[in-house]
Amino acid sequence: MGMYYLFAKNAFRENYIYRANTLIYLFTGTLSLLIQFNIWQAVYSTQDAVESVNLSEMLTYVVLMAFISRLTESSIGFKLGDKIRTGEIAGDFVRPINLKWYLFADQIGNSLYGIFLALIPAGAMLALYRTFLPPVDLFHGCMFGLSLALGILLGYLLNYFLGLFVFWIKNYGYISWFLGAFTTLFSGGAVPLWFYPPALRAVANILPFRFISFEAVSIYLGKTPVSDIYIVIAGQLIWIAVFFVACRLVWNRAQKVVTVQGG
Amino acid sequence: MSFIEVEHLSKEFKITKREKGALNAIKSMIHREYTIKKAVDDISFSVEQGELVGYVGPNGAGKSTTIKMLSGILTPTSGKVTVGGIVPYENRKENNMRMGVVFGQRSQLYWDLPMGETFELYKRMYKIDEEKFRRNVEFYTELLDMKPFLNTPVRQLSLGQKMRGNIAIALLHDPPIVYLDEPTIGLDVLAKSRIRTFIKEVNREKNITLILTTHDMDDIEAICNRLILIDNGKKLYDGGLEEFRNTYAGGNLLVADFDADEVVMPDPRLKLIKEEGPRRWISFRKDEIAPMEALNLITARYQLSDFSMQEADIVETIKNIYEKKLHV
Repeated sequence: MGMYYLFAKNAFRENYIYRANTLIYLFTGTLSLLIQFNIWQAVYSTQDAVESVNLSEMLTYVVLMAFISRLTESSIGFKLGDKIRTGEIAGDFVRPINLKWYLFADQIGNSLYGIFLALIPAGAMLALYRTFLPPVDLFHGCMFGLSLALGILLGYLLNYFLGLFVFWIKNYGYISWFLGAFTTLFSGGAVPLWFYPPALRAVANILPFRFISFEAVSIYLGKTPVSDIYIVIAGQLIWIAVFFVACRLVWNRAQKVVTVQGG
Repeated sequence: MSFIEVEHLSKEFKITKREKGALNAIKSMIHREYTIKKAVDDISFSVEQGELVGYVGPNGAGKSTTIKMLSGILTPTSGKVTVGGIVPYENRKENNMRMGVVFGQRSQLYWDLPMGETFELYKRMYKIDEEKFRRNVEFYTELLDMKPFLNTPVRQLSLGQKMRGNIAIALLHDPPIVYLDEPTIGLDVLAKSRIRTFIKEVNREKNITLILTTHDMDDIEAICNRLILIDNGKKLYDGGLEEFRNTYAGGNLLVADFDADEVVMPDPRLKLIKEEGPRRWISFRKDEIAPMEALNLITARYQLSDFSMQEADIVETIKNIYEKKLHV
C-alpha cells in the first residue's frame, strides 16, 4: 500500500516542476469556464428554465463538472499505450507491482494536482458570479461522493481496458480518438444529458460514459429522484464489474503476445 | 538442480512483410503476410549460484530475448526456464521480488525527481527493511561514487550517472540473481571501468549470480568467469573464459627478441608462429605449460634482449567465429 501512495505522491510532485505547464493549465481552465458561463447565460437570457433546470443550477453544473472531470478523466490508456509502443513496459514487468494499480495510483497523483489547479479558476468564477449551489441535502451530498468515487474507478478501468489493446494494435491514437468522441457525446461533459433528444439520450443510457461523472453531478443537484439514485449506483457497480472482468481477460491474453518493441 | 535451468528454449516472432506501392499498402490492410523469425532457437544451459556469466552475441543474435524470458517478461514459444525453482513468466510477481534487472537502453528512475526518491520507492516496493536499506544505499553510493548527484533531478544527469543509479536500484533489495542487459552501452572508459569494478565487488560481497549481455568484450574479460556465445539464436560456445581463450584463441603469447639467429623450440608445447628480425612470437597454452616454465625453457637455451607475455585476443577470436572463419 505504501508503495502505491509513493507512486501517487511522486506523480503529483513531478507536475509542479514544470511551471510554464502549470500556467497554461490555469489559463485554459479559466478560459474554458468563462466561455461556458457566457454560453449558458446567453441561453438563459430569454427563459428562466430549460427542461426545469434554472441558470444557477446550470452554472453549478458547469463548475462542478469542470472540477470533478479533473478526477474522472485520465491518461491511463495513453500512458499504457505509450509504454507498450516504446517498449518501456519491460521495465514495469520486472517490478513486483500490479501494473493496473500502479497506473491508477500514478493517475490519482496527477489528478490531485489537476484538482489543486482547478480550484483557482473555479474560485475566480465564483467570486465573479456568486452562484454555486450546495448539494440539495446531506443525503444527496453523500450519494454524490459515493457516485463520484465509483465514477472515478469506472473511468480508470475503461481507460485502462482500452489501453490494453495497444498490445495488439501497437498505437493508442485511434483508440484515443474514438474514446474522446464517445466521451464528449455521451458523457454529458459539454451539454448535460437532460437536454438530449430522446433518441440520443437512449443511446447514452445504454453506454457506460454517463456513469463516470454526469450521474454524480445529477445526484448533487437533486435532478435524480431518490429511488433512481440506487439504480444509478447499481449501474455503476455493474459496469465496474464488467470492466474488471474484461480487463482480467484481456490482460491474460496480452501476456502471451507481449513483444517488447525497440530492442 | 542448478539455480537457473534453461531447457530447449525457443522464441519466435512474427514479422510483417512490407511491400512497396499503394496497392500493396491497401492489400496489407486486409491480408498481411508474416515471416517467422526464430530469435532464440533451442538453447539449453544451466547456471550455478554465484556465477558471473557473459552472454555474448552480435546485434540481433537473441541475447536480449533470452534475458527477457529469463526475467519473465516474455513467454517462450517452446522450452522451459526455471530460476531458483520457479518459472519466471508464470510467477512473475514472486520472481520479480528475487531479481534485479538493468536494461542499458531504458531507465527506471523518475525522470523529474532526484534519485533518492526512486530509492525510497524501491524500498517500499521490495519491502526492504530500514537497516538493510540504509546499509545498501550507503554501500552503493560509496562504491559508485554517487554522492555528488544524489539530489539532482535525474533529467539533469549524464548517461553514466543514470546508469549507476539504475544499477544501484536493481541491487537495492539484495536479489540472488541480477540480469544486466548491456549496462555499459554508450558509456566512456572511466564510467565503464567504475561499473565493472562495482559488479565484481558486489559479487564478492554478496555472492549474487549475474548474467550480463554486452558487445564489449572488455566487460566480459573484466567481470565474467564463464562465457556463453550465441549467434542467430543458437548456442555456439558455453564454458569457462580461460578454456575459451586456450582452445580457440590459441592460448597465450610470448613475444621475445632473441640474440640468436636460428631459433628452435625446445619443447613441443611451445609453437613458434611468427618471426620478424630478432623478434619471435611463441604461442602456448596455459593449461599445458605455465608461463614461467615456458620462459625458463627458452632462457635456458637462448639469450633474450627483451620479452613480453600477452593474453590471447578474445575479441579477434570471437570476430573470427562470427565471420565463420573459425568453427566452434
